[in-house]
Amino acid sequence: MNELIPVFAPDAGLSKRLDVEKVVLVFDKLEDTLESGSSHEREQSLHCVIVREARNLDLLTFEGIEHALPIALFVPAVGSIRIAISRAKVYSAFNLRIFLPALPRENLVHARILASLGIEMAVVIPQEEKDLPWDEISDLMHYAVYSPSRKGSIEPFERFVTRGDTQGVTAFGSPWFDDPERFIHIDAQGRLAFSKRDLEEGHFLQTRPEELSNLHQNEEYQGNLKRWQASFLRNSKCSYCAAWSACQGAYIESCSHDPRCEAFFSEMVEALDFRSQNRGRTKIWQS
Amino acid sequence: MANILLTQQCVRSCPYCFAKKHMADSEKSATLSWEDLIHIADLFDDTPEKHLSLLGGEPTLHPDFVDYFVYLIGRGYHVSVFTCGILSEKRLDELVAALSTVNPGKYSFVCNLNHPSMSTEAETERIDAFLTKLGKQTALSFNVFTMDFTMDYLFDYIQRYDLRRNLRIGLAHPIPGETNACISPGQFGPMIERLASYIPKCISSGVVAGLDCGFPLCKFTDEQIGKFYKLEHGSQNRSLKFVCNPALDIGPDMKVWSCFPLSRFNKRSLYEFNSVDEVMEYFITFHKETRAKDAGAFAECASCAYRAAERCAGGCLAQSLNHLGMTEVVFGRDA
Repeated sequence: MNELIPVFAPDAGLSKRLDVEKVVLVFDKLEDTLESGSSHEREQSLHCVIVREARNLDLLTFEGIEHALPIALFVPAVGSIRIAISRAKVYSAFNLRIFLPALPRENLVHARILASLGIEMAVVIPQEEKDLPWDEISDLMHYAVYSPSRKGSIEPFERFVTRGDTQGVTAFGSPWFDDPERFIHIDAQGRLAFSKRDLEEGHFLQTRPEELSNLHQNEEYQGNLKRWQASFLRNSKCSYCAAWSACQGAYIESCSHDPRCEAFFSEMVEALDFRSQNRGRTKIWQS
Repeated sequence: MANILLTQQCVRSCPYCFAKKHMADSEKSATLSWEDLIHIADLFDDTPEKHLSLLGGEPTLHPDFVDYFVYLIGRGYHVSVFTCGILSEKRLDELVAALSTVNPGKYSFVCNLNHPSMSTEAETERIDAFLTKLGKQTALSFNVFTMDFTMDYLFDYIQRYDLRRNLRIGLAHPIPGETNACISPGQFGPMIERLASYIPKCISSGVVAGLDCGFPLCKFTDEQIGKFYKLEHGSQNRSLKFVCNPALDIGPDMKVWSCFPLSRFNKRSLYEFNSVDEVMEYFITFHKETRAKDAGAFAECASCAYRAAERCAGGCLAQSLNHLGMTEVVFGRDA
């Protein structure tokens, strides 16, 4: 079983209480990552840092930021696409993925523009939004998956089609750390939450960070991992959706009656099948 | 290389406009989207020239023109913009500001400059403002569509605004089914003679005049050929050739066709092709099939050794389509 990676705001005291090899540190501002310290000063190695910026991308300077530092940069929007285009080489020089929310719709176009310039991109498709632009998300997915030209990848599509399980379920939100089999979110008091959303809503699995290493034995955690199965007990549209394995009902609250949601995830599953057919074909003498 | 039409809208209505038929058949409000621009940039990514031209209508009228321009340069393309030079003050300032951070070697402007008598005072003012600010990156383009043309004003402009010493000379071609002003095949000889009379002025002004497509080799005397050759030879913009290849024009609706005079023929969606080679092959086949049925603009083309050796295409393919009766061509006002 894989070791769970804790996601939390920098806190030396908390780090010392965690018996893990890797951590994800969360910052509010890009320049704050300068204080994340070099690796030898930390208890654990960095899986990456998350920066949840309130500013648009065009307002951020990367002055002084360590080029090798793996950064998941969440911004609300690009701002001036012209400025962002002119800085494409700057962004590419960093170990960076830029996350944009799927709304406003313009963000989807901007994600495609920047990815086509070689920048690693992601669009976050929020579970709570009622009016998600599924058609445009689908267009972007097609570009990300099927376009043969060289470019930066676009998450969550890339991970889904390259690491997805054609026979089982795949954590669609893993790129934005919504993947409880990989990431556990911890608050300032050291309480463990199944997801960022649970953390924000105050639903905790454990109150002590030391419990992280025992979490696989935690009943609530194990129950939550199979939470998606409950959708089959409800008479919701998701119960009959052919693409349930892609989203596992993640959008049940906002989109269960939206046929475009089903259409998108069905295309996502087709893309996974398409890619998996071309994935690492082994010859008989190699096995 | 391909020509991308960002918009169908234009601020001018030139009598010879070779885009007229295409524009009439297309939706005026259509503009090229970001998604389609990215698709074009991806498709042409592996072409050795990495050169794209932005056209219209008037390309600078596209609301995202400056962003598109900066994007294509960011993708590693050399970008040529074909404009009439009539830009609003706001758009011109926006463009100049954006260019301040761009390597001037990565782009150029080609300003299609009609005789001043064809422009209003306000239009002339805007052209002057454009050339004042961007003249160093701008070459002029001139279209021959009447027999009494004059080119003297072009040299004045080149001098006054210190423009690039390259002059594109285009020949207005007939648009099958349209009444654009153009030069009929019977007028080619005198037209070339008039053009050649400007060669001494080109030499004294240091201007390299490059002939665009559709000029038939046989209508030049050896002396004229020699003079044009000497004028161009050694310059970076040599274009003295008489062959005809698809130019690839891509509309805002992602339709692709061989070139404007042939915009009615074999139009396809660019999305139907997987590579630039496929697109080229498709239109080269169309050219060859048409040439096989009609050798060229003149009856002599059928037995011409230069035509057989593919050193001359026998004029614009639109002339052959006209011969084949595929559409009715009405020649221009001085025919």
